[in-house]
Amino acid sequence: MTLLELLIALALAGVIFLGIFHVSTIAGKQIHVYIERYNAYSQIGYALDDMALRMPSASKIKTPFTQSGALETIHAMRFIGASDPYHVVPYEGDTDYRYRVRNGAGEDGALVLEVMDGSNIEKAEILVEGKFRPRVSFIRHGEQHDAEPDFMTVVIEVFCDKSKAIGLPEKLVKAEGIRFWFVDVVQPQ
Amino acid sequence: MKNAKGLSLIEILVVLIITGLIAACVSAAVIGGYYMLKQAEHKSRAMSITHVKLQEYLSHSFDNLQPGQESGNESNISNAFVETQDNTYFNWTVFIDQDKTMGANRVPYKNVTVETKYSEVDPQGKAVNTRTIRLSNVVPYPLIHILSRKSQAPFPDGKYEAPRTDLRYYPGMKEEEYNWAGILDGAKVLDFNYAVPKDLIIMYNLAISYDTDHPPDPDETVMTRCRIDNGGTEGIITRTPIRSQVFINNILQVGNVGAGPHTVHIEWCHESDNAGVKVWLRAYDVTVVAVEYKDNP
Repeated sequence: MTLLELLIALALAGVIFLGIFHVSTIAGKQIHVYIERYNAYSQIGYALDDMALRMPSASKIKTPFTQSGALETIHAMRFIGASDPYHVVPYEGDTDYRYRVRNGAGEDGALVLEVMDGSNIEKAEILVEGKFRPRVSFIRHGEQHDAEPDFMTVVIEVFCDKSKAIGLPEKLVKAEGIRFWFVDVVQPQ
Repeated sequence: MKNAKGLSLIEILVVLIITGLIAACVSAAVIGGYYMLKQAEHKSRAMSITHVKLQEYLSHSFDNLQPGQESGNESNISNAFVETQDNTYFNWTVFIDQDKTMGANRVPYKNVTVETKYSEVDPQGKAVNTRTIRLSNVVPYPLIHILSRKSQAPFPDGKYEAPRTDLRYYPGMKEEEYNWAGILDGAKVLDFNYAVPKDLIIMYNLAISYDTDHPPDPDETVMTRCRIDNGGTEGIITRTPIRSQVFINNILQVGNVGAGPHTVHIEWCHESDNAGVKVWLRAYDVTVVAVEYKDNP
Protein backbone atom coordinates (compact mmCIF):
# COMPACT_ATOMS: atom_id res chain seq x y z
CA MET A 1 0.00 0.00 0.00
CA THR A 2 1.38 3.33 -0.95
CA LEU A 3 1.19 6.40 1.25
CA LEU A 4 -1.36 7.89 -1.12
CA GLU A 5 -3.58 4.81 -0.83
CA LEU A 6 -3.28 4.93 2.93
CA LEU A 7 -4.29 8.61 3.03
CA ILE A 8 -7.29 8.03 0.79
CA ALA A 9 -8.36 5.08 2.90
CA LEU A 10 -7.97 7.07 6.11
CA ALA A 11 -9.93 10.02 4.72
CA LEU A 12 -12.76 7.79 3.52
CA ALA A 13 -12.80 5.85 6.76
CA GLY A 14 -12.90 9.12 8.70
CA VAL A 15 -15.87 10.38 6.69
CA ILE A 16 -17.76 7.09 7.07
CA PHE A 17 -17.08 6.80 10.77
CA LEU A 18 -18.08 10.42 11.28
CA GLY A 19 -21.31 9.66 9.40
CA ILE A 20 -21.97 6.59 11.52
CA PHE A 21 -21.33 8.58 14.69
CA HIS A 22 -23.62 11.37 13.55
CA VAL A 23 -26.39 9.02 12.51
CA SER A 24 -26.15 7.08 15.76
CA THR A 25 -26.26 10.30 17.77
CA ILE A 26 -29.38 11.40 15.90
CA ALA A 27 -30.89 7.94 16.29
CA GLY A 28 -30.15 8.03 20.02
CA LYS A 29 -31.72 11.47 20.35
CA GLN A 30 -34.70 10.36 18.32
CA ILE A 31 -35.27 7.33 20.50
CA HIS A 32 -35.02 9.51 23.58
CA VAL A 33 -37.47 12.08 22.17
CA TYR A 34 -39.86 9.37 20.98
CA ILE A 35 -39.92 7.83 24.45
CA GLU A 36 -40.49 11.25 26.00
CA ARG A 37 -43.32 12.08 23.58
CA TYR A 38 -44.89 8.67 24.05
CA ASN A 39 -44.70 9.21 27.80
CA ALA A 40 -46.28 12.67 27.46
CA TYR A 41 -49.08 11.39 25.20
CA SER A 42 -49.74 8.53 27.62
CA GLN A 43 -50.01 10.94 30.53
CA ILE A 44 -52.33 13.28 28.60
CA GLY A 45 -54.45 10.29 27.56
CA TYR A 46 -54.58 9.10 31.16
CA ALA A 47 -55.62 12.55 32.41
CA LEU A 48 -58.37 12.89 29.77
CA ASP A 49 -59.63 9.37 30.46
CA ASP A 50 -59.75 10.18 34.16
CA MET A 51 -61.81 13.32 33.47
CA ALA A 52 -64.10 11.50 31.04
CA LEU A 53 -64.67 8.88 33.72
CA ARG A 54 -65.37 11.14 36.70
CA MET A 55 -67.10 14.19 35.23
CA PRO A 56 -70.19 12.47 33.80
CA SER A 57 -71.22 11.59 37.36
CA ALA A 58 -70.80 15.14 38.64
CA SER A 59 -73.76 16.22 40.72
CA LYS A 60 -72.58 19.73 41.45
CA ILE A 61 -70.11 22.06 39.77
CA LYS A 62 -68.19 24.17 42.27
CA THR A 63 -66.05 26.05 39.74
CA PRO A 64 -68.71 26.95 37.22
CA PHE A 65 -68.65 28.71 33.92
CA THR A 66 -70.34 32.03 34.42
CA GLN A 67 -71.26 33.36 30.98
CA SER A 68 -74.25 31.46 29.76
CA GLY A 69 -74.11 32.49 26.11
CA ALA A 70 -70.42 33.01 25.42
CA LEU A 71 -67.30 31.03 24.66
CA GLU A 72 -65.56 30.66 27.98
CA THR A 73 -62.39 28.96 29.15
CA ILE A 74 -61.40 28.11 32.70
CA HIS A 75 -58.21 26.39 33.86
CA ALA A 76 -59.35 24.52 36.96
CA MET A 77 -62.47 22.49 37.55
CA ARG A 78 -63.88 21.65 40.95
CA PHE A 79 -66.98 19.52 41.24
CA ILE A 80 -68.83 17.07 43.46
CA GLY A 81 -68.69 13.65 41.87
CA ALA A 82 -69.23 10.01 42.70
CA SER A 83 -66.61 8.50 45.01
CA ASP A 84 -66.66 5.37 42.90
CA PRO A 85 -67.16 6.42 39.27
CA TYR A 86 -67.88 2.79 38.36
CA HIS A 87 -70.81 2.67 40.78
CA VAL A 88 -72.70 5.93 40.55
CA VAL A 89 -75.39 6.56 43.14
CA PRO A 90 -76.78 10.11 43.24
CA TYR A 91 -75.84 12.07 46.36
CA GLU A 92 -74.33 9.07 48.10
CA GLY A 93 -70.65 8.84 48.86
CA ASP A 94 -69.91 12.08 47.04
CA THR A 95 -66.39 13.37 46.74
CA ASP A 96 -65.13 16.90 46.18
CA TYR A 97 -62.74 16.70 43.21
CA ARG A 98 -60.51 19.35 41.70
CA TYR A 99 -58.46 19.24 38.52
CA ARG A 100 -55.80 21.90 38.31
CA VAL A 101 -52.21 22.60 37.40
CA ARG A 102 -50.08 23.10 40.51
CA ASN A 103 -48.54 26.37 39.39
CA GLY A 104 -48.48 28.30 42.65
CA ALA A 105 -45.30 29.43 44.36
CA GLY A 106 -43.06 26.47 45.17
CA GLU A 107 -45.32 24.01 43.37
CA ASP A 108 -44.13 21.48 40.81
CA GLY A 109 -46.33 22.48 37.84
CA ALA A 110 -47.97 19.06 37.54
CA LEU A 111 -51.57 18.52 36.42
CA VAL A 112 -53.25 16.86 39.36
CA LEU A 113 -56.53 15.44 40.54
CA GLU A 114 -57.09 16.52 44.12
CA VAL A 115 -59.66 15.23 46.58
CA MET A 116 -60.69 18.21 48.66
CA ASP A 117 -62.02 18.56 52.17
CA GLY A 118 -63.09 22.18 52.36
CA SER A 119 -59.94 24.13 51.60
CA ASN A 120 -57.62 21.23 52.54
CA ILE A 121 -56.23 18.82 50.00
CA GLU A 122 -56.91 15.32 51.29
CA LYS A 123 -55.27 13.43 48.49
CA ALA A 124 -53.58 14.32 45.22
CA GLU A 125 -52.81 12.21 42.19
CA ILE A 126 -50.39 13.40 39.54
CA LEU A 127 -51.91 12.98 36.10
CA VAL A 128 -49.25 14.78 34.03
CA GLU A 129 -45.79 15.39 35.45
CA GLY A 130 -44.58 18.93 36.00
CA LYS A 131 -41.56 18.42 33.73
CA PHE A 132 -43.95 18.53 30.76
CA ARG A 133 -45.27 21.95 31.87
CA PRO A 134 -48.94 20.94 31.32
CA ARG A 135 -51.77 23.41 30.72
CA VAL A 136 -55.39 22.42 30.97
CA SER A 137 -58.34 24.33 29.50
CA PHE A 138 -61.99 23.55 30.12
CA ILE A 139 -63.83 25.20 27.24
CA ARG A 140 -67.52 25.78 26.99
CA HIS A 141 -68.39 26.77 23.45
CA GLY A 142 -71.47 28.76 24.31
CA GLU A 143 -74.83 29.02 22.69
CA GLN A 144 -73.58 30.76 19.56
CA HIS A 145 -71.89 27.47 18.70
CA ASP A 146 -75.13 25.60 19.32
CA ALA A 147 -73.47 23.69 22.17
CA GLU A 148 -75.49 21.93 24.81
CA PRO A 149 -75.15 23.42 28.30
CA ASP A 150 -73.86 20.18 29.79
CA PHE A 151 -71.05 19.77 27.26
CA MET A 152 -67.51 21.08 27.31
CA THR A 153 -64.18 20.43 25.65
CA VAL A 154 -61.09 19.72 27.70
CA VAL A 155 -57.76 20.52 26.05
CA ILE A 156 -54.43 19.53 27.57
CA GLU A 157 -51.19 20.99 26.23
CA VAL A 158 -47.73 19.85 27.28
CA PHE A 159 -44.17 20.68 26.23
CA CYS A 160 -41.45 18.18 25.27
CA ASP A 161 -38.38 20.40 25.39
CA LYS A 162 -36.03 18.03 23.60
CA SER A 163 -38.28 17.61 20.56
CA LYS A 164 -36.90 20.70 18.84
CA ALA A 165 -33.50 18.99 18.57
CA ILE A 166 -34.89 16.63 15.95
CA GLY A 167 -37.23 19.12 14.27
CA LEU A 168 -40.48 18.17 15.96
CA PRO A 169 -42.83 20.70 17.59
CA GLU A 170 -42.32 21.04 21.33
CA LYS A 171 -45.99 21.44 22.15
CA LEU A 172 -48.31 18.44 22.17
CA VAL A 173 -52.09 18.85 22.30
CA LYS A 174 -54.94 16.47 22.86
CA ALA A 175 -58.62 17.17 23.48
CA GLU A 176 -61.69 15.36 24.68
CA GLY A 177 -65.40 16.22 24.60
CA ILE A 178 -67.04 15.65 27.97
CA ARG A 179 -70.67 15.64 28.98
CA PHE A 180 -71.99 16.03 32.49
CA TRP A 181 -74.69 13.88 33.92
CA PHE A 182 -77.51 16.08 35.13
CA VAL A 183 -75.64 19.27 35.81
CA ASP A 184 -75.74 22.42 33.76
CA VAL A 185 -72.12 23.55 33.79
CA VAL A 186 -73.26 27.12 33.34
CA GLN A 187 -74.34 28.72 36.58
CA PRO A 188 -74.65 32.50 36.10
CA GLN A 189 -73.65 34.37 39.24
CA MET B 1 7.83 -4.49 -0.38
CA LYS B 2 5.73 -6.34 -2.97
CA ASN B 3 5.39 -9.39 -0.70
CA ALA B 4 4.58 -7.35 2.44
CA LYS B 5 1.35 -8.48 4.22
CA GLY B 6 -1.55 -5.96 4.77
CA LEU B 7 -4.76 -4.65 3.33
CA SER B 8 -4.95 -3.68 -0.31
CA LEU B 9 -6.83 -0.54 -1.40
CA ILE B 10 -9.49 -2.76 -2.98
CA GLU B 11 -10.10 -4.50 0.33
CA ILE B 12 -10.39 -1.19 2.19
CA LEU B 13 -12.79 0.17 -0.45
CA VAL B 14 -14.95 -2.95 -0.17
CA VAL B 15 -15.06 -2.55 3.61
CA LEU B 16 -15.93 1.15 3.23
CA ILE B 17 -18.69 0.42 0.72
CA ILE B 18 -20.21 -2.18 3.04
CA THR B 19 -19.95 0.24 5.96
CA GLY B 20 -21.51 2.98 3.82
CA LEU B 21 -24.40 0.72 2.90
CA ILE B 22 -25.03 -0.07 6.56
CA ALA B 23 -24.90 3.65 7.40
CA ALA B 24 -27.37 4.40 4.59
CA CYS B 25 -29.76 1.78 5.96
CA VAL B 26 -29.49 3.20 9.47
CA SER B 27 -30.11 6.75 8.26
CA ALA B 28 -33.07 5.55 6.18
CA ALA B 29 -34.47 3.94 9.33
CA VAL B 30 -33.89 7.17 11.26
CA ILE B 31 -35.64 9.29 8.64
CA GLY B 32 -38.37 6.70 8.18
CA GLY B 33 -38.90 6.57 11.94
CA TYR B 34 -39.32 10.33 12.01
CA TYR B 35 -42.07 10.24 9.38
CA MET B 36 -43.74 7.25 10.97
CA LEU B 37 -43.85 9.18 14.25
CA LYS B 38 -45.35 12.15 12.43
CA GLN B 39 -47.94 9.88 10.83
CA ALA B 40 -48.86 8.37 14.19
CA GLU B 41 -49.16 11.83 15.74
CA HIS B 42 -51.32 13.05 12.86
CA LYS B 43 -53.58 10.04 13.27
CA SER B 44 -53.81 10.65 17.01
CA ARG B 45 -54.63 14.32 16.41
CA ALA B 46 -57.28 13.45 13.83
CA MET B 47 -58.78 10.94 16.24
CA SER B 48 -58.83 13.54 19.02
CA ILE B 49 -60.60 16.11 16.79
CA THR B 50 -63.07 13.52 15.49
CA HIS B 51 -63.90 12.25 18.96
CA VAL B 52 -64.47 15.74 20.37
CA LYS B 53 -66.88 16.60 17.55
CA LEU B 54 -68.68 13.27 17.85
CA GLN B 55 -69.17 13.76 21.60
CA GLU B 56 -70.37 17.30 20.98
CA TYR B 57 -73.06 16.16 18.55
CA LEU B 58 -74.06 13.15 20.65
CA SER B 59 -74.75 15.56 23.50
CA HIS B 60 -77.62 17.07 21.49
CA SER B 61 -81.11 15.79 22.07
CA PHE B 62 -82.85 13.83 19.31
CA ASP B 63 -85.00 16.78 18.25
CA ASN B 64 -82.08 19.22 18.21
CA LEU B 65 -80.12 17.14 15.71
CA GLN B 66 -81.22 18.32 12.30
CA PRO B 67 -80.33 16.09 9.33
CA GLY B 68 -77.64 17.68 7.17
CA GLN B 69 -73.95 18.33 7.42
CA GLU B 70 -71.62 20.82 8.99
CA SER B 71 -67.89 21.27 8.60
CA GLY B 72 -64.99 23.16 10.09
CA ASN B 73 -61.38 22.81 11.05
CA GLU B 74 -59.29 22.28 14.15
CA SER B 75 -59.47 25.96 15.11
CA ASN B 76 -63.13 25.38 16.03
CA ILE B 77 -62.02 23.16 18.89
CA SER B 78 -59.14 25.06 20.41
CA ASN B 79 -56.50 27.58 19.41
CA ALA B 80 -53.95 25.16 20.86
CA PHE B 81 -54.45 23.04 17.76
CA VAL B 82 -53.70 26.03 15.54
CA GLU B 83 -50.57 26.91 17.51
CA THR B 84 -49.17 23.42 17.00
CA GLN B 85 -49.95 23.07 13.29
CA ASP B 86 -47.19 21.78 11.05
CA ASN B 87 -48.00 21.75 7.34
CA THR B 88 -50.82 19.28 7.82
CA TYR B 89 -54.33 20.68 8.14
CA PHE B 90 -57.31 18.91 9.60
CA ASN B 91 -60.87 19.47 8.40
CA TRP B 92 -63.84 17.82 10.02
CA THR B 93 -67.31 17.23 8.62
CA VAL B 94 -70.33 16.04 10.57
CA PHE B 95 -73.06 14.16 8.72
CA ILE B 96 -76.44 13.69 10.38
CA ASP B 97 -79.08 11.50 8.84
CA GLN B 98 -82.23 9.88 10.10
CA ASP B 99 -83.21 6.25 9.79
CA LYS B 100 -85.49 3.71 11.42
CA THR B 101 -84.85 0.33 12.96
CA MET B 102 -86.23 -2.85 11.46
CA GLY B 103 -89.17 -4.57 13.15
CA ALA B 104 -92.77 -3.70 13.85
CA ASN B 105 -92.26 -0.44 15.72
CA ARG B 106 -89.63 1.03 13.34
CA VAL B 107 -88.04 3.21 16.02
CA PRO B 108 -86.32 6.26 14.49
CA TYR B 109 -82.75 7.16 15.27
CA LYS B 110 -80.29 9.76 14.07
CA ASN B 111 -76.96 8.63 12.80
CA VAL B 112 -74.05 10.97 13.54
CA THR B 113 -70.88 10.43 11.52
CA VAL B 114 -67.80 12.61 11.94
CA GLU B 115 -65.05 12.51 9.32
CA THR B 116 -61.71 14.23 9.73
CA LYS B 117 -59.57 14.52 6.62
CA TYR B 118 -55.92 15.50 6.44
CA SER B 119 -53.19 15.27 3.83
CA GLU B 120 -50.01 13.48 4.68
CA VAL B 121 -46.71 14.65 3.22
CA ASP B 122 -43.75 12.58 2.14
CA PRO B 123 -40.15 13.30 3.23
CA GLN B 124 -39.85 15.78 0.32
CA GLY B 125 -42.81 17.74 1.68
CA LYS B 126 -45.24 16.76 -1.08
CA ALA B 127 -48.78 15.83 -0.17
CA VAL B 128 -49.19 12.19 -1.02
CA ASN B 129 -52.26 10.80 0.65
CA THR B 130 -55.48 12.16 2.00
CA ARG B 131 -56.24 10.26 5.15
CA THR B 132 -59.66 10.03 6.75
CA ILE B 133 -60.67 9.14 10.28
CA ARG B 134 -64.34 8.34 10.58
CA LEU B 135 -66.36 7.72 13.75
CA SER B 136 -70.10 7.08 14.00
CA ASN B 137 -72.72 6.70 16.66
CA VAL B 138 -76.48 7.03 16.96
CA VAL B 139 -78.87 9.16 18.99
CA PRO B 140 -81.98 7.02 19.48
CA TYR B 141 -85.57 8.22 19.65
CA PRO B 142 -86.29 8.91 23.34
CA LEU B 143 -87.93 6.09 25.27
CA ILE B 144 -89.88 8.53 27.41
CA HIS B 145 -91.60 11.78 26.46
CA ILE B 146 -93.26 14.14 28.90
CA LEU B 147 -95.86 16.67 27.82
CA SER B 148 -97.40 19.24 30.08
CA ARG B 149 -99.85 22.09 29.82
CA LYS B 150 -101.35 24.32 32.45
CA SER B 151 -103.27 27.54 32.84
CA GLN B 152 -100.91 30.49 33.16
CA ALA B 153 -103.06 32.42 35.64
CA PRO B 154 -106.34 31.66 37.45
CA PHE B 155 -109.30 32.07 35.12
CA PRO B 156 -111.85 34.72 36.10
CA ASP B 157 -115.22 33.47 37.26
CA GLY B 158 -117.53 32.77 34.38
CA LYS B 159 -114.85 32.22 31.70
CA TYR B 160 -115.24 28.44 31.46
CA GLU B 161 -118.48 27.06 32.85
CA ALA B 162 -119.23 23.38 33.41
CA PRO B 163 -122.19 22.15 31.30
CA ARG B 164 -125.08 21.04 33.45
CA THR B 165 -126.95 17.79 33.39
CA ASP B 166 -130.35 17.72 35.06
CA LEU B 167 -130.04 14.08 35.91
CA ARG B 168 -128.42 13.01 39.13
CA TYR B 169 -125.85 10.31 38.62
CA TYR B 170 -127.05 6.72 38.72
CA PRO B 171 -125.09 3.52 38.02
CA GLY B 172 -125.30 2.67 34.33
CA MET B 173 -125.90 6.28 33.31
CA LYS B 174 -126.00 6.56 29.53
CA GLU B 175 -123.38 8.48 27.58
CA GLU B 176 -125.81 11.08 26.23
CA GLU B 177 -127.19 11.76 29.71
CA TYR B 178 -123.93 13.23 30.99
CA ASN B 179 -123.83 16.31 28.71
CA TRP B 180 -120.03 16.23 28.50
CA ALA B 181 -118.04 19.19 27.17
CA GLY B 182 -114.36 20.11 27.08
CA ILE B 183 -113.03 22.09 30.05
CA LEU B 184 -111.74 24.76 27.62
CA ASP B 185 -113.36 26.27 24.55
CA GLY B 186 -111.99 23.62 22.20
CA ALA B 187 -112.45 19.92 22.81
CA LYS B 188 -108.74 19.16 23.30
CA VAL B 189 -106.35 20.34 25.99
CA LEU B 190 -103.20 19.14 24.28
CA ASP B 191 -102.02 17.09 21.35
CA PHE B 192 -99.00 14.92 20.59
CA ASN B 193 -97.42 13.17 17.67
CA TYR B 194 -94.97 10.39 18.48
CA ALA B 195 -93.14 8.30 15.93
CA VAL B 196 -93.76 5.01 17.74
CA PRO B 197 -96.67 3.48 19.68
CA LYS B 198 -96.74 4.64 23.29
CA ASP B 199 -98.17 3.66 26.65
CA LEU B 200 -99.50 6.79 28.32
CA ILE B 201 -99.93 7.90 31.90
CA ILE B 202 -102.20 10.95 31.96
CA MET B 203 -102.51 13.08 35.08
CA TYR B 204 -104.77 16.06 35.35
CA ASN B 205 -105.72 18.47 38.13
CA LEU B 206 -108.60 20.92 37.98
CA ALA B 207 -109.40 23.70 40.40
CA ILE B 208 -113.00 24.87 40.32
CA SER B 209 -115.04 27.67 41.83
CA TYR B 210 -118.74 28.34 42.05
CA ASP B 211 -121.10 31.25 42.30
CA THR B 212 -121.31 31.92 46.04
CA ASP B 213 -124.57 33.79 45.62
CA HIS B 214 -126.12 30.54 44.40
CA PRO B 215 -124.10 27.79 46.11
CA PRO B 216 -124.57 24.16 45.05
CA ASP B 217 -126.23 21.64 47.33
CA PRO B 218 -123.73 19.69 49.43
CA ASP B 219 -124.29 16.57 47.34
CA GLU B 220 -123.97 18.24 43.94
CA THR B 221 -120.96 16.96 42.05
CA VAL B 222 -118.76 17.68 39.09
CA MET B 223 -117.76 14.73 36.95
CA THR B 224 -114.63 14.65 34.76
CA ARG B 225 -113.18 12.21 32.31
CA CYS B 226 -110.36 11.89 29.79
CA ARG B 227 -110.55 10.76 26.19
CA ILE B 228 -107.97 10.23 23.47
CA ASP B 229 -109.13 11.61 20.10
CA ASN B 230 -112.84 10.81 19.81
CA GLY B 231 -112.65 7.50 21.64
CA GLY B 232 -114.47 6.43 24.76
CA THR B 233 -113.68 7.27 28.36
CA GLU B 234 -110.19 6.23 29.40
CA GLY B 235 -109.64 5.19 32.99
CA ILE B 236 -112.32 6.25 35.43
CA ILE B 237 -114.88 9.08 35.58
CA THR B 238 -114.28 11.21 38.66
CA ARG B 239 -117.28 12.39 40.67
CA THR B 240 -116.37 15.11 43.11
CA PRO B 241 -118.60 17.02 45.55
CA ILE B 242 -118.29 20.69 44.67
CA ARG B 243 -118.63 22.41 48.03
CA SER B 244 -116.30 20.16 49.97
CA GLN B 245 -113.64 19.54 47.29
CA VAL B 246 -112.78 22.24 44.81
CA PHE B 247 -109.71 20.35 43.54
CA ILE B 248 -110.17 17.39 41.22
CA ASN B 249 -107.35 14.96 40.42
CA ASN B 250 -107.26 11.97 38.12
CA ILE B 251 -104.51 9.63 36.95
CA LEU B 252 -105.13 7.10 34.23
CA GLN B 253 -103.23 4.77 31.95
CA VAL B 254 -103.78 4.29 28.24
CA GLY B 255 -101.97 1.41 26.59
CA ASN B 256 -100.62 1.11 23.05
CA VAL B 257 -101.59 4.44 21.53
CA GLY B 258 -100.53 4.20 17.90
CA ALA B 259 -97.85 6.34 16.26
CA GLY B 260 -99.03 9.61 14.73
CA PRO B 261 -101.07 12.63 15.81
CA HIS B 262 -103.51 12.34 18.72
CA THR B 263 -105.40 14.69 20.98
CA VAL B 264 -106.13 14.55 24.71
CA HIS B 265 -109.57 15.74 25.79
CA ILE B 266 -110.49 16.54 29.37
CA GLU B 267 -114.24 16.88 29.70
CA TRP B 268 -116.56 17.70 32.53
CA CYS B 269 -120.19 18.09 33.49
CA HIS B 270 -122.02 19.38 36.52
CA GLU B 271 -124.90 17.33 37.90
CA SER B 272 -127.52 19.69 39.21
CA ASP B 273 -131.21 20.19 38.77
CA ASN B 274 -130.84 23.83 39.76
CA ALA B 275 -130.12 26.03 36.73
CA GLY B 276 -128.95 28.89 38.93
CA VAL B 277 -125.88 27.07 40.20
CA LYS B 278 -122.77 27.86 38.18
CA VAL B 279 -119.47 25.98 38.38
CA TRP B 280 -116.41 27.51 36.78
CA LEU B 281 -112.88 26.41 35.97
CA ARG B 282 -110.28 28.22 38.07
CA ALA B 283 -107.11 26.52 36.85
CA TYR B 284 -105.91 23.29 35.28
CA ASP B 285 -102.79 21.32 34.53
CA VAL B 286 -102.37 18.20 32.46
CA THR B 287 -99.25 16.02 32.26
CA VAL B 288 -98.76 13.12 29.88
CA VAL B 289 -95.91 10.66 30.37
CA ALA B 290 -95.48 8.61 27.22
CA VAL B 291 -93.34 5.46 27.39
CA GLU B 292 -92.45 3.41 24.34
CA TYR B 293 -94.92 0.57 23.90
CA LYS B 294 -93.36 -2.89 23.95
CA ASP B 295 -95.08 -5.96 22.57
CA ASN B 296 -93.34 -8.18 25.07
CA PRO B 297 -92.55 -6.18 28.16
